[in-house]
Amino acid sequence: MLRPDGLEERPTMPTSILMPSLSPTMEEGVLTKWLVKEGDLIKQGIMLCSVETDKTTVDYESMDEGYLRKIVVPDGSQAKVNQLIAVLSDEKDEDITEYLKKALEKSAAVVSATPGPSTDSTGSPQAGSGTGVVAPTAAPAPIPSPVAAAVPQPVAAFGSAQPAESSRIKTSPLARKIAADSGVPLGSVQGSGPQGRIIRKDVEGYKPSAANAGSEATQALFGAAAVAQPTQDIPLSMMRKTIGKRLLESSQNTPVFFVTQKIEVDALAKLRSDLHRGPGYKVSVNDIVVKAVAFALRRHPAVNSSFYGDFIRQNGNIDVCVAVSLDGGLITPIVKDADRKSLMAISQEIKALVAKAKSGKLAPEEYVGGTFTVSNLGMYGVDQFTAIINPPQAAILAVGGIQSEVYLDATGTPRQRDVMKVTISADHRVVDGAQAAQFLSTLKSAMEHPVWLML
Amino acid sequence: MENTYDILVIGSGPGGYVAAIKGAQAGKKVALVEKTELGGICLNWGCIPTKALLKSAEVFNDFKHAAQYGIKTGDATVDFGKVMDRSREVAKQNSNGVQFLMKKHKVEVLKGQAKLLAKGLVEITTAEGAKQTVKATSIIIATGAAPRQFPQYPIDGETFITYRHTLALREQPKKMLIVGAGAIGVEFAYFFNSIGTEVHLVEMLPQLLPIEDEEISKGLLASFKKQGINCYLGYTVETKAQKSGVQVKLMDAQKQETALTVDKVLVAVGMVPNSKDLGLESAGVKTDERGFIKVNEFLETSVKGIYAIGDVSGKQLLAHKASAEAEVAVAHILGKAQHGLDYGQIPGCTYCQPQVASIGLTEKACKEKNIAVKIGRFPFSASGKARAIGHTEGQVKLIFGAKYGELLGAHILGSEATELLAELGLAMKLEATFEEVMHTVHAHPTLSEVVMEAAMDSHGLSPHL
Ligand SMILES: Cc1cc2nc3c(=O)[nH]c(=O)nc-3n(C[C@H](O)[C@H](O)[C@H](O)COP(=O)(O)OP(=O)(O)OC[C@H]3O[C@@H](n4cnc5c(N)ncnc54)[C@H](O)[C@@H]3O)c2cc1C
Repeated sequence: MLRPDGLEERPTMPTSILMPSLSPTMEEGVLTKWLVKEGDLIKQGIMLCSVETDKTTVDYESMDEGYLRKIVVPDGSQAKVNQLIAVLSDEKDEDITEYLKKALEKSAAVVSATPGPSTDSTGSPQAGSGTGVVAPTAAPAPIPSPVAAAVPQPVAAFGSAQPAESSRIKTSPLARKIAADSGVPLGSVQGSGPQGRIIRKDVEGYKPSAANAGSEATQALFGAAAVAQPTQDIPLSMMRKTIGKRLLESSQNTPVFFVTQKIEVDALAKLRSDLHRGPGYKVSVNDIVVKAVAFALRRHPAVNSSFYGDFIRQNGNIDVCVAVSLDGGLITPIVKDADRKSLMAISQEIKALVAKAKSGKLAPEEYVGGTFTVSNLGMYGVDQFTAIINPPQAAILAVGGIQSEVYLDATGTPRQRDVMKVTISADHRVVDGAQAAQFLSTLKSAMEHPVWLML
Repeated sequence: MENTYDILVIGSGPGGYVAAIKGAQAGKKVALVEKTELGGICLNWGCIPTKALLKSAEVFNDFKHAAQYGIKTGDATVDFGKVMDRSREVAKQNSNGVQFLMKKHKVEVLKGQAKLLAKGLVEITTAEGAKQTVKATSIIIATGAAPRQFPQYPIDGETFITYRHTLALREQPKKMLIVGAGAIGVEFAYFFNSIGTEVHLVEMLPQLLPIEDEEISKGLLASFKKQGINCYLGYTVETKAQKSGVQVKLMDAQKQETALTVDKVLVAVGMVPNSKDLGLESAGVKTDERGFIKVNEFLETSVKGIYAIGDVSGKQLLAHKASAEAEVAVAHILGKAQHGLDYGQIPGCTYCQPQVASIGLTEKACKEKNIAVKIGRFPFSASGKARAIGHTEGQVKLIFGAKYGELLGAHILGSEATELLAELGLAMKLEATFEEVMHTVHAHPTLSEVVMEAAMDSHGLSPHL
């Protein structure tokens, strides 16, 4: 290229910014929000955008410098790993048309080369801006809103009840409306008004990543949400897609069998109350289950295995995954080396992991891997249930709630006791029925004699 | 040795005296410097004495209309001297009240004119010329503002007068020109017209109360015309003083002239800050091009530890704004301030009849800001209570955001408008929407129902329209 004065133009080169791979299993992500805008000077280390991966939401930090010239993938759109999402240039007004064209071609190749779900919305400038859901009565097409939007419907103008969730939170009426409209969970917003009252600017300034969704109050049974809900098409979030894919795979491809065991929990309850009354520490039933599972796994290594098609790996570490339900699905953070940790350590670690999971802040190494999973629905009062194995793990334990029952003791006298039912789902390619039963028997002993777990 | 204070406040108006009390309540050693009477313009020469005069006018008007209510009276007449005396008496009571409060809160009152010598150092000169220097960790400047003067209206205190001279008049003017239709001009126009003075009110801008919503100002204009006030909007004035009074030439935009002769010209064309002769330069305190002291959101000036509140730092020149700023400044001194005032939520009131009260944005301002709105209106004439008391002039106009229904602006023209506004200030502060306003059950029959009805009307839901 020649300039009018005959000198060769300095060959400055624009830079492509590609969708990063933010977790080991990530194939594509939703670019939920740009944190910078076209024209901004980008320095290394600046947060460019938030990306929702299959597991979590991560802020993407720039490793390059330059002026942000073109945003190729707008807020709320999907992009495959390595797909072009933006272009930087050294000079503020350098011509990037040529470069952009080439980069887009290259990017298109990346997109078509990777198998996976179609990427209709990618690059489409109209792709949803991430605000509330529109009742799709008139439009049969799927809603373009990219985020898993289990958002409360904007409340009708006159006389309608507000979602119960927000009515228990101190908030201004305006803040409540804006939150409902934009899907901001009020429970996660830090209020700046008197005594933490949430006002308009708090909702408008809310950044999901910064907030702790853990405190989100659950919807009350009789809130507006329970009364009337229009039919709506909810697009799949990356997390839902991943959950769907992996669990379908698992249930279709695994020869699974189930064994249920009843466990008496009176001793366990006494341990909890002793710990609470003595050192003042509250451990949950689940904390003890995890500890006992680790204890039993150490003694039944076959259950602590992974299936890899042509071999079975008996894992040396005991890394117990704990299923945590989230708004948009679930995630299974890992308590590593659970057999070597004290009950207290496990309890604290689970608390921290759950909080991180709920705020979408888990690092990949905190949820990828694991050798066995515990899924507990006891807090919902279920009696027992079965869970789907999380491959390549060989088994998963489904923990039901505590129930009281009357039984006849050795002398034939009716007595009452508290029990809980646990059900193991095991991959028969790895574990045999007897092994599963033995594992459960050890687990039962450990939980009925929780003092063992103190060693 | 100079006296040393934690906080020194200069000026004892609604900004200064409130700041002094707030500081003292927090356990600080506080002094308040005042060169004249305690209470500032507001208590001595502004808000309070004018409201006293206006009440006399209202009482007189009630008598004039007594027959309408079935009451026979003799001919009511105005004793101008007594009306003025009452106004002064009310002002004095309020000023004494401030004195009492200072004693109660152990605020040391220093009489004299204050001047900054440097940061933290203030010189005070008494009327007799005695000087003393005091030290203070924090200084709050609350010296208020004074009438703006124009060469074409040379204030002489006789024929060309300000509000100050007006409040001290001993004889009722027969014919009066009031220049400026802001709150002060409008209130005096109502007062003098009510008690029988021939009033000519002239304003350069095309509306009465230029900062109010156009529709409201139009309503007031109609009422003023009915009351017999001569209003000249969009006019310029030329005056010529003569022995027998002042010759006035009024000119509209088309250069149409109106000539008249008056005995007094009240000049009410704005205020200038009292920021001169304060020693601001010695301390390094900066002012803007109009002389208002520059402050940040916490009212701190360009010099750390020196604050400026009330009229002297600009924005709305209103007493309640000055007092609200006093709280912010003191909180900042105490390290407790979280945020400054929201200047978009300062109510403004004019106490003529019908009264005008407003808060927030006008319809025009919303348009300029491109905010989509839903407007609700309700006329007093549709209110049972308004009819019962015989005050059916005016309307409520509420402006809500179209999307979320939040209250953006409230504008009331009518009886007790200034009292009715309070709930809308609260609504705005609490970020209420039209729903909360209209679902608040208002007692019947009250004037306040007009507010509720206007909120309903914004969404076509008023049962009474
Ligand atoms: C006729 C009239 C009617 C009004 N009506 C209303 C109304 O209805 N509602 C409303 O909200 N507002 C009204 N105002 C405005 C209101 O009076 C002012 O906004 C308010 O007084 C400002 O308070 P301030 O504390 O800033 O100053 P001021 O009240 O002006 O007090 C300043 C004080 O500082 C003193 N001072 C100045 N310089 C020095 C110095 N160097 N040393 C020592 N002392 C000094 C002065 O003597 C004065 O006492 C009215 C004003 C006028 C003129």
